[in-house]
Amino acid sequence: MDGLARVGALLAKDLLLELRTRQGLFSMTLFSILSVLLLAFAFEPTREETRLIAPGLLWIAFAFAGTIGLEHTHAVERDMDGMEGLLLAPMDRGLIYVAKLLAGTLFMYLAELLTLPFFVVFFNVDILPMLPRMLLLNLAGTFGFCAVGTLLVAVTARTRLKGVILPVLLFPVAVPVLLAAVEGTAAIFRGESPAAALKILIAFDAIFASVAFLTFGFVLEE
Amino acid sequence: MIRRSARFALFLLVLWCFSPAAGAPAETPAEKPPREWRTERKPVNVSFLFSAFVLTWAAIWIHLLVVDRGQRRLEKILARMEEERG
Amino acid sequence: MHGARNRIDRGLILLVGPAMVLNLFLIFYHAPVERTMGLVQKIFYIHVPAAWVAFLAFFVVFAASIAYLASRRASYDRLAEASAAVGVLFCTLVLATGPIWAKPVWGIWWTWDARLTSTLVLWFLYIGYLLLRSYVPDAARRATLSAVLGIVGFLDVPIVYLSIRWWRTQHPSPVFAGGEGSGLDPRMRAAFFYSLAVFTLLFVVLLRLRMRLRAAEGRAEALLDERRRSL
Repeated sequence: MDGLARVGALLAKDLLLELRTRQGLFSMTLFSILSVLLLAFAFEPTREETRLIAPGLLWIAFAFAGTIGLEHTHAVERDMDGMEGLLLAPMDRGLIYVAKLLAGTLFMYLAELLTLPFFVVFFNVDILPMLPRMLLLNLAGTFGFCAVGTLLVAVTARTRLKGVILPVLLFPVAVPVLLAAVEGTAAIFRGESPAAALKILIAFDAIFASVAFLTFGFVLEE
Repeated sequence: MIRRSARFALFLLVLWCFSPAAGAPAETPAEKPPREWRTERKPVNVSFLFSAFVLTWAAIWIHLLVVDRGQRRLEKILARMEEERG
Repeated sequence: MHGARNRIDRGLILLVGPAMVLNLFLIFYHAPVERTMGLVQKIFYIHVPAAWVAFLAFFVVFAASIAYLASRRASYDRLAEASAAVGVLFCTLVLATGPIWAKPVWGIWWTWDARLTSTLVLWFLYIGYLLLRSYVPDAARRATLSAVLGIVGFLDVPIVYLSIRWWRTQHPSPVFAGGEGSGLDPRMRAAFFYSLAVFTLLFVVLLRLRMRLRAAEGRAEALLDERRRSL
């Protein structure tokens, strides 16, 4: 399909850009790990209670890092009027969204994977036996977060203060993602199945990716 | 500046009128025995509450009327200005 | 041209005054005092109608946002903004009356029940909407961006509610007996529905006032622009 090829091309471009400098991924990962560290300071990691809240702490760190990453995926187009180039291309604006969504999800997911070892070490949580489930849940959650995030970062990029209000807009909209991701992760830590949380995440992902796909064109118009 | 402080004072007055509605205050000190359920309700001055609410509403409503009047005058001026420019 | 509409607006404002006084009378004197909660229960006649009106307001934002993107008429954008602003007002009222009711009845300020918590998220969503608008100086862009947010935000509302409700089932808290709707005396029901009607009327009145203000702003801006250009 033509659309698929175009998305593929855009995605390859974003990946190539990131591969060259690795700036975005690096700052996102570093921020995520630092957040985990700060949270370890804030919540004494050796206590039993901290184990109970560990899923929440993990996703707070991911959410913060995610906003940085989203800003970056959008900001790359500012150099040399990259966005104009994209808009001039004869393609559905929604496809630009899909490409940005996939790129953003990939980078955020990578940052999360790189953060997990630090989390495991600092908080003494053994996730190896439940790794496949965690990976799946994280993917669903990250995709949902980026589904709304990619749209909202395009919206806020067109405001006077740009990134400043992205968290203000994104966090309320992403409440279902964060709730489901935290509860799902908590279920995984307890050894149970995160099926219920996954269902919510998949529903959210489907609904909001579609809505964003349809409305992205309006956001980009001049 | 004076109008703003007057408005703030009015706001505080309204809040104070509603304070009886807030019910029981927070914690009791440790030595007191646990609170028993009262079998009859403490008499509440319903007419006081009612009048407080009605007075507050009256102030709001009068404000809405004033705003509406100002808005209509503004619209008249705008209409005249739009006519003048041809 | 605008004379008839102005008369209707004025009529509505005149109507809502005594209508609300009657509402207060029904609430305080006609509706019976609830047995377990006492007088405090009467906050219900303000808390719940305010919540319904807030929800109605945000639905109007949703509809107006779609209408704007479809037609690009500025009046739809004005409707969306006005509805969001008035909606936030009523939403604030819900969030303020909730704890006032909860504290004497259940002993805690905030109960984390699904409805109140979703209302809180809703509040943040629409404050964000108003904040976004304040950050975009260009009128057309502002209208488009907030229309997109208005659509996304409203579609999020049911999902937020369902996810919070599910979240609470994961952490069962003591069940609070005697919820708001449990067994309504017919006089209570009458007072409630009348209150709902009056609050909706108040919503329309405030909405119209704000829309007229914005429309007048737009006209003044246009006149100013012309003057500037002709100089």
